[in-house]
Amino acid sequence: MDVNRSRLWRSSINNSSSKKFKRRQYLVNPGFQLRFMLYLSIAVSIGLAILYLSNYFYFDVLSSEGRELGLDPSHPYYEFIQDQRRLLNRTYLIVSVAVFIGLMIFGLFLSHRVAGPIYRIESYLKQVTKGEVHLRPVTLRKGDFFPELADIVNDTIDHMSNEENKPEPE
Amino acid sequence: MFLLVFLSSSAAYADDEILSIKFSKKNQTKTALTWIQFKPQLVFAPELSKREKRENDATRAQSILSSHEVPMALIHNTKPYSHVGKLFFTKEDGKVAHCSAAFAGTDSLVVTAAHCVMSLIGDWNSDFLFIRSYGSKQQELYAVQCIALLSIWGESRGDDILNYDYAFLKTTRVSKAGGLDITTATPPEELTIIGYSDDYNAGRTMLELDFAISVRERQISSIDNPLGKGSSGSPWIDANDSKMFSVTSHYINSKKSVMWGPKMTTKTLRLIEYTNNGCESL
Repeated sequence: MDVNRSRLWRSSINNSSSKKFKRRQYLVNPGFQLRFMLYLSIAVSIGLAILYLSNYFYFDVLSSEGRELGLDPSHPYYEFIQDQRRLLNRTYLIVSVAVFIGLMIFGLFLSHRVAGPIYRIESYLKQVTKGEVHLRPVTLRKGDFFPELADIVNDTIDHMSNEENKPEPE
Repeated sequence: MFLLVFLSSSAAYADDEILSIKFSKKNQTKTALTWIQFKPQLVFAPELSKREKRENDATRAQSILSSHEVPMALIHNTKPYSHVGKLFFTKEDGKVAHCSAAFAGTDSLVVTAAHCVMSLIGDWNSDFLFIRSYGSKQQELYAVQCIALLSIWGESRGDDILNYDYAFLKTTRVSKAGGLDITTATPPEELTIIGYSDDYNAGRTMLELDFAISVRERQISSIDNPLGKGSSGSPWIDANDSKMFSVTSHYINSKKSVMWGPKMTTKTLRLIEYTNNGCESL
């Protein structure tokens, strides 16, 4: 009976791998994922700030070129520069917000792909420790990071089950 | 046949007698960008060694003109020098050129030769920029809002047009130094010409020369004038009261030492009013 259980368990791996797991909860490991997104947002903010400063520097150079030429402060040239600066800032703000939101969503998905498998294996192993070894084998979604972990866990459980079910030498 | 030589280095609105052109803010910005690129302080007349035919004349002029430099201390604040400067522009073919010019008529009008703003075939030059006290450390730059000249210049042919070789440019701000008074009176026997010559220090130095003049019906001539190219638009002034009688226009090739300028008339005064009103009729 116990020997068959191992076989059944294996076959259930094949059956269950065809099923698609859809994890609806994207924040499965808030500690890791939020830290990951925080780091990402800091990196994105630094990048955007550098770009903004470059723009500021560029327009500042244009203004100083006008001053160097001797243009009066009321000259339309400075108005033109201000208009361009305003236009670029507005565009820049919109694009920055869009990029920031986009990258945060991307960061959430990416961290979910990392945290998801770990969460899945972690909860599976907790069930194993409770003695529920007859559970279906652990499977990960396509595209999850560390897919080899599931194989290793399944092989380990399989191996342990086989060891348990070996007939005692008489 | 005489060959006339002009001395510049190089959507109009029609009134009955006046042609004018206005520059929008966009155009003024384009002009500023042009001069940021070319930098007027780097626009010099060609070095003497690079000249071919004119080298001997230029060398001779150089030695004559050296004693006519306006002292630096006078250029910025002392009348009439403080009214004079250099007008930079680009021609139809995109080449950078320059003339002499001066604030005259009002404190926001610059007078120069008509051929400095419009070619003989009626093409407007562009990217006008006037630099008062050019060559001094305190030189001041003035953008141009509109230009007007008598339509005879742009529309007629023949020698008559030389009587109208002057134009007024309305600047976007007023000159701190004010402007020369223009008079239609008969000039005295001697006048002072203040301007720049390509033949001296590559056109970087303001010069002042006194000349005996000869008056004709519509033009005045200055005799033994070595200023040459770059002096177009230089004001002809009575040294006693700083009143302006003419601007340098041209010389005749067979007699280079005699330079001609148009007499100012009542038409000139009307042109001043028109230009000062933003190139619109009153």
